Amino acid sequence: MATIAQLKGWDSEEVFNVDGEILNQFSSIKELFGNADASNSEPLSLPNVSAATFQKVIEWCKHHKDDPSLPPLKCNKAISEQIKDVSDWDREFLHVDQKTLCELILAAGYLGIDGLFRLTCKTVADMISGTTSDENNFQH
Amino acid sequence: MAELAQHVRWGMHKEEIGAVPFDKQLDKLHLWMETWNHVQRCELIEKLLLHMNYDQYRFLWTVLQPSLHRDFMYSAQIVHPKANFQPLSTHISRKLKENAGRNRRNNFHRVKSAYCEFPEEVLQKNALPELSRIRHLSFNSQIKRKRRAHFSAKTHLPHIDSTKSKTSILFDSTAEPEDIPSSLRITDQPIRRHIQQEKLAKTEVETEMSLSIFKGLQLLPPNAIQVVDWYNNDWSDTQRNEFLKKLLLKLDERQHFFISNLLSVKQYKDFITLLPLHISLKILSYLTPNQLVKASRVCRSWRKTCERNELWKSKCKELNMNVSDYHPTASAISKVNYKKLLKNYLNTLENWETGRTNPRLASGSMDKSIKIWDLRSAQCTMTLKGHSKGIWSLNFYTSTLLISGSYDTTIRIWNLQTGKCMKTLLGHDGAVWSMTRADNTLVTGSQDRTVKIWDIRRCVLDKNLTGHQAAVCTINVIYVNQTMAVMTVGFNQGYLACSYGEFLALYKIAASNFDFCNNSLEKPIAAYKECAFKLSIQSDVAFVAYPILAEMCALKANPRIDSEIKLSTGALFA
Repeated sequence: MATIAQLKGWDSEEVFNVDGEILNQFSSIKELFGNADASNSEPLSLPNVSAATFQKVIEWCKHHKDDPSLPPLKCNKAISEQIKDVSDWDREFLHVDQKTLCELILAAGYLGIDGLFRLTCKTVADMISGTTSDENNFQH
Repeated sequence: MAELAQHVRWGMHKEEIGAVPFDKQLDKLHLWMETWNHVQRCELIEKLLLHMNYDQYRFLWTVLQPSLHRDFMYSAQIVHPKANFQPLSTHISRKLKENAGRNRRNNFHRVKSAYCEFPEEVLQKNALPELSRIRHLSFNSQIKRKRRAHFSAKTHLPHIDSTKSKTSILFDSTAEPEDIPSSLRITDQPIRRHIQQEKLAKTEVETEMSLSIFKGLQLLPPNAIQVVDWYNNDWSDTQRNEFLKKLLLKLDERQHFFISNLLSVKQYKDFITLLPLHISLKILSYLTPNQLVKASRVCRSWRKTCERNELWKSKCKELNMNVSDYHPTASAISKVNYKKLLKNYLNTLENWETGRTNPRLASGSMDKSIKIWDLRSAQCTMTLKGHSKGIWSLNFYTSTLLISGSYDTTIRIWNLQTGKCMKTLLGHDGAVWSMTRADNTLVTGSQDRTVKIWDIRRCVLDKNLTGHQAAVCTINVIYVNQTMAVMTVGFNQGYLACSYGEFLALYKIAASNFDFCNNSLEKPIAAYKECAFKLSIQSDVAFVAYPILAEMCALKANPRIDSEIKLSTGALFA
């Protein structure tokens, strides 16, 4: 692809080469790179994303790069009804401990990956709704 | 084909055929493990944990539960006097402690728990003291500063060195005495609870030796990287589980303790309080109202987030509720409480569908009596007598108080428990045709061409009303018209509509003083040449019914848009 951004998490020097297809999904930072060829410049450090999390994010983006863009959520309909189908791959992907999930949400929110953000939020909401208040109390 | 058939017949799994290299890998691992010290093992475990899935977490978590027990820490401390087995404080342990503390009599000294919030702190706590200081200076301090800024959560870690010295002194004195026969010494007894026995002397020497090598370096041995790679790429889930089982047997108490500590910190995260507000609101917006109410019961910080008005506003929108932001009376006093609105809305819907309304009906008639009917049994339960002429209007104030307006110009308030008249309001000079009520404000329309506004709590005419040129208005009475009787009134959210003759008048009643809108609404209505029969106001739309034309109109009550909308032409229900 034309634009290749070099990004790294805040906690390690490991540099990730991100191609244009994936970069397009990062709606909040893709403008930073624009059309410039970023392969020569310094790798950009992401302040809110750790390397391990970023790796997972890229994994998700690679799997979902061919997805059509999501329709905006309608405000006059229950959100839980609008996002119903979670694919098996996604479910397996989010089968992680809560700390990782927490970081994934933050990363998705920070990078502006709408699909992942919705997915993770829904996962947490399902976790909350699946339990009673006492169990929640115990878990958190 | 024959070979495959044989496998199937013997119930052999395909993975088992290719299991030979896996066994070899495990054997190699056994050898390597011997050479690694505590720090390296911990590093390996930490790396592996990153790649584990939920089931493997579950497995480790259940298997290593016992290592959080006090007995384990005690016996492990004797085997490894140098290691620091400080119990970890988690939400669960704090809760247990609180419960236990209530009934506890003896006040022995107990080791203070470390309050760790992030895995890095567990790493630091479990590392050997010398190393932990280096780590803290170089790497961890950076992480923690960032983390703190990020989550703004408080963390507290007691000084490692001080507690360590305290415990080591304690255990030295108990374990050392020479007069106890060696067979009875605690150190010589085998350690139970899944832990393989290891010789004390060997581990001590080993740790000290490797410590000197790895004092400054924090790198994984190359073999360990190989293991992580196998784990990640080569092995199936069953193989991973087997590997974990073997690994646990190979590890000693310190690493068991490390894993269980790390897991208990990693295990559960409080998403709602840790994440920034806009994200937690987003998460909560995925819940249904019922689940939101449940979630708000969890703890105080959840409640605070769950009660946010914008959250409930979006919930109102989801249900297609028509809530206008323009709220004449409420805006002056307080902001609109969307949760309350939604609750009322859902209650009304439910009551409407299940028919669980107040199963009572009050009817007034020309025979001067009011009858209360039980709608379930369809029987008259009470007859109220007192008016000298027929009853024209009724309104429930509370479930036990009923207000009635009569042709005899009086308004009476009845107590339905005793069946007696509590108060009689005198004020009108003509029959009270109609009344409507919102909270404590009662509006009555009468034959004497006035509309009166009452405060029922004190049973007085409401004061602080000022007049307007078109309608003559005294302090507390609106003279709507000079000639016509007021047939019907409607009152809602500070708007008062009343009809007289061919006209409708619309008033706006503010909280303290009262002025009325441009009575431009009279214009479109005049075309009907007929007295309005019933009208009611909902938020900012007035519904008017005319008896002869059999038509219903909806009027925009907002004074800025005085247009008329024809809703339906159909049969009118009287």
